[in-house]
Amino acid sequence: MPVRSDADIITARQKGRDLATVLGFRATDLTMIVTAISELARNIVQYAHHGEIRLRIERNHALAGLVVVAADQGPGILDVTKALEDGYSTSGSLGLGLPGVKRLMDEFYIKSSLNGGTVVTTKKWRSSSIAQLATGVAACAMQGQAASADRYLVLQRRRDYLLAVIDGVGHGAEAEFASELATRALRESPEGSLESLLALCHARLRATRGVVMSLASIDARQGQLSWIGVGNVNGVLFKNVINARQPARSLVQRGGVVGHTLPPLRGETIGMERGDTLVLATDGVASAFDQEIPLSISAQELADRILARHGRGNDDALVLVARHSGPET
Amino acid sequence: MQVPILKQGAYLIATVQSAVSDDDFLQLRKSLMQQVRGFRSRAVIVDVTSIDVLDSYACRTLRDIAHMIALQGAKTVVVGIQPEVAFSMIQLGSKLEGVVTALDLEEGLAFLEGSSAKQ
Repeated sequence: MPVRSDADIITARQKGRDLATVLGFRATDLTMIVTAISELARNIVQYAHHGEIRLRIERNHALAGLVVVAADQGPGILDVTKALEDGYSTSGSLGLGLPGVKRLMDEFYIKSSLNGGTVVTTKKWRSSSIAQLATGVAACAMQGQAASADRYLVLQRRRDYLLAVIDGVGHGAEAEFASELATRALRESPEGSLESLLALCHARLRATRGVVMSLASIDARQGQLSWIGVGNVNGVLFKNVINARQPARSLVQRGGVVGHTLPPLRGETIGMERGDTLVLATDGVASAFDQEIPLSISAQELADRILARHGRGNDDALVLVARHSGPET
Repeated sequence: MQVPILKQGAYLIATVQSAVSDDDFLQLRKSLMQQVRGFRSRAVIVDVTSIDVLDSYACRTLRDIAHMIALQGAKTVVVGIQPEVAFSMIQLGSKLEGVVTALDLEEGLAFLEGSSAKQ
């Protein structure tokens, strides 16, 4: 649609809102998309005087996305890198614009040449359309203890899922406090690499007894699992291969205690396809749980079964199961 | 669509509609300036409850309105910024520095009553 005036900005916003609503975006995402369209349309009116905004739907596997293209034949941007820095403006009146749009959307591309116009392409993916992950969890506290110091976390991040199983060192309130603190740190700032998340927890837990933990991120769309472990929270990935049982992959853990001694760390990334099942378990579960053949039952049933059959009973125990249940990758 | 301005005692209440254009915003600024002077109003409430987008331009205009009205010796309270809108403003990097905000019209009025009682 053409963008020439103030009124066109409002029309572009409205069309963007309508299309994004049809695609099923949630209110927060809707507003972010519409705000981005408003900024882009305004740039056109302000700098190029006329241009156009194109909206289209893009599908990538199960993912639905809205693509917003803003194109004009205006004067172009002299220094694109600079234009993407906060506070930069050529007219002095628009201090935000492009860096803001970049933050509002998931993907951002810009092509501009002096006197050759500017094309900005941005995309927003519908977050609920990230391929599904089925999870199950089973836990019990050590006999004689009211509460367990084991914690788990499953969070949907921007591009993937983050999973954590955390075991506070020792037992009782102090151990529980440490694992609670780690859980909270991850919940508050879940984005970033697994290594950086471990470092974050390490920094936050210095005054505590510390925890052992394993972290995993699952990008179901790309079919990838990344994982990392400090101390003995076991991780196993069962492969879903019909009639030919492929050996399960085990997480390589490094010795250490998050909050006290953090070993040099590097996460590992391996393939995870539909049906593949990740199990993370604290040391209250005997490591022989990897002998289970888990693929015919649900994630929750598997968690229950592993705890029932392999729980030691003399320690806090927690089993987290996550199965790739999305479309084929 | 012009923004209606309601005179309520010593206050002016401007209710901004959802599809407000840049010109409407500029018109609002002008009208508020005139009416604050004409009615000797002590405060202005700008209600943005039904606004679904506050882009950088709209934010700057709101900021300008508040500052210009302050220069005339009156107060401005912006009320009703929706949670999604607030979220997008932060992502965009927009700020309403130096502008008093309140949850809704009721809170905005309560703020003004409270601040005039203290004087």
